[in-house]
Amino acid sequence: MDKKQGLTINEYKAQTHRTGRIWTAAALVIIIAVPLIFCLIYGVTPEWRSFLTGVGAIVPMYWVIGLIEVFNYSPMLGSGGTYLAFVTGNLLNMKLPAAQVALKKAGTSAATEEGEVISTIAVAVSTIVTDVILIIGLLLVIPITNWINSNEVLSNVFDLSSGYVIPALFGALGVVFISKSWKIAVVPTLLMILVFLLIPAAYGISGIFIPVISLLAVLLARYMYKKNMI
Amino acid sequence: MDYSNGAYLYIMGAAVAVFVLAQSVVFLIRAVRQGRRIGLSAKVMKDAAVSSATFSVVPSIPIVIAMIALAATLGAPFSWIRLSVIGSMSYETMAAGAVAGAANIDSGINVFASAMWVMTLGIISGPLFNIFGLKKYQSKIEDIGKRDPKWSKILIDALFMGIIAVMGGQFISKGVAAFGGFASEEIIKNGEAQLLTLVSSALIMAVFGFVIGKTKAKWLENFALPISMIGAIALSVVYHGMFLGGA
Repeated sequence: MDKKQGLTINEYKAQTHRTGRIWTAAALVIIIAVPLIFCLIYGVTPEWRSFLTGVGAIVPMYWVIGLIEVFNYSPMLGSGGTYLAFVTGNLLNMKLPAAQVALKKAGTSAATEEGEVISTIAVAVSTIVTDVILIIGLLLVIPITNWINSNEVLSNVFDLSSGYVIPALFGALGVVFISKSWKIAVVPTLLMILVFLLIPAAYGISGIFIPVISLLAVLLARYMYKKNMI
Repeated sequence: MDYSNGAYLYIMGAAVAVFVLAQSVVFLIRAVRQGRRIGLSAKVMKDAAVSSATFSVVPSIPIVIAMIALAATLGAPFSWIRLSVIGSMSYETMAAGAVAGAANIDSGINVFASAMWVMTLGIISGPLFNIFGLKKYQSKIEDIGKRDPKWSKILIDALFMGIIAVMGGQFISKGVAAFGGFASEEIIKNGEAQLLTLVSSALIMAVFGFVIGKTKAKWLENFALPISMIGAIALSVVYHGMFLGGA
């Protein structure tokens, strides 16, 4: 019986990777088809100067970031969650917190069999919610645009770079996760506060610090774990 | 500008939205079936779905706003496509900006095509890696989980702490610098109000945690995070007014 159960679990894993690869490949085909078919239908080529400038500015940096993100985030998402989240995007502000909150509630982590299931459910539901809200937003795009533009308070509060949704998100998340494992949290958090205080230019590139500080947090946690401090 | 709001892009947008929804549903069904197989209770799985759904509403709002903001230059359907697959609000705005820096995006269909290509090509490395390398990487992570489950849990917590330290830390420093007056106006901007928003959200969440701990009212857990966020965002209107006046 045990053996059969084990086989099933391994089969599920193998199937997750098969399904994940197929869907990811299909997703890449679709998103590349969007500009490709556009160019064919309208019989146009990209304007090369802006294309090359844009590619030069975006591709080297974001290809590296994309790879680092997989290494950094997939342990928190599990296999199914990673395939799904890396097709649907909005990792930092949606998928990772959604998965972590659900996992914490279930009292498990993504590296376990239960966690793999919980995390996939959380990422899938989160994606469905965002997509439905985007569709509603699209239907209302003109009325909403007028409404927000006419309301300065709303445009300030929900502004992308200097709005208040991200601080509100990380204030609440911080309390939940720092209180749970404050020993791992203290040094990285204080260090980042110090870095940002000393080098104000760092605000503009804050995302770059995430893999560095995550690695440091892991090394520190490893040390404390070995010394039986956590 | 007919092309950027033309039928073709709307059709592709619908195709992408259906694709993403279909993929989510397929993964959801697979996960629920597997959950049953390994003996997870329906309640645990339902809790995960409900907590994720209630959580996801509030952070979706800025994504819609980003779509609306991008729609001004890229048209509604391509903005919709870009925010439905991969990428993120900050990436899309940055990538569109990189092309806009070289040429005015609404200056012609060729520049628009450039923007589409740049924004698409910039985000494919993650999924490309997943096709070829994720299986191997995940099996390594799972090995750690099997060998030393306690460490594996701590490892994942530490990774997440990296995100919290950077994303939360920047608002703390900005706010401290703003209150202390030791950074340029250009950098601080609304640092005071952002820090107060972060602290408010943290405090509301802490009160929830306290109440849930005392009363064992587990049902409150699902609402704690969204309500803390909404409460803090509502207060941010007050803070913004306090420090930036009517501006």
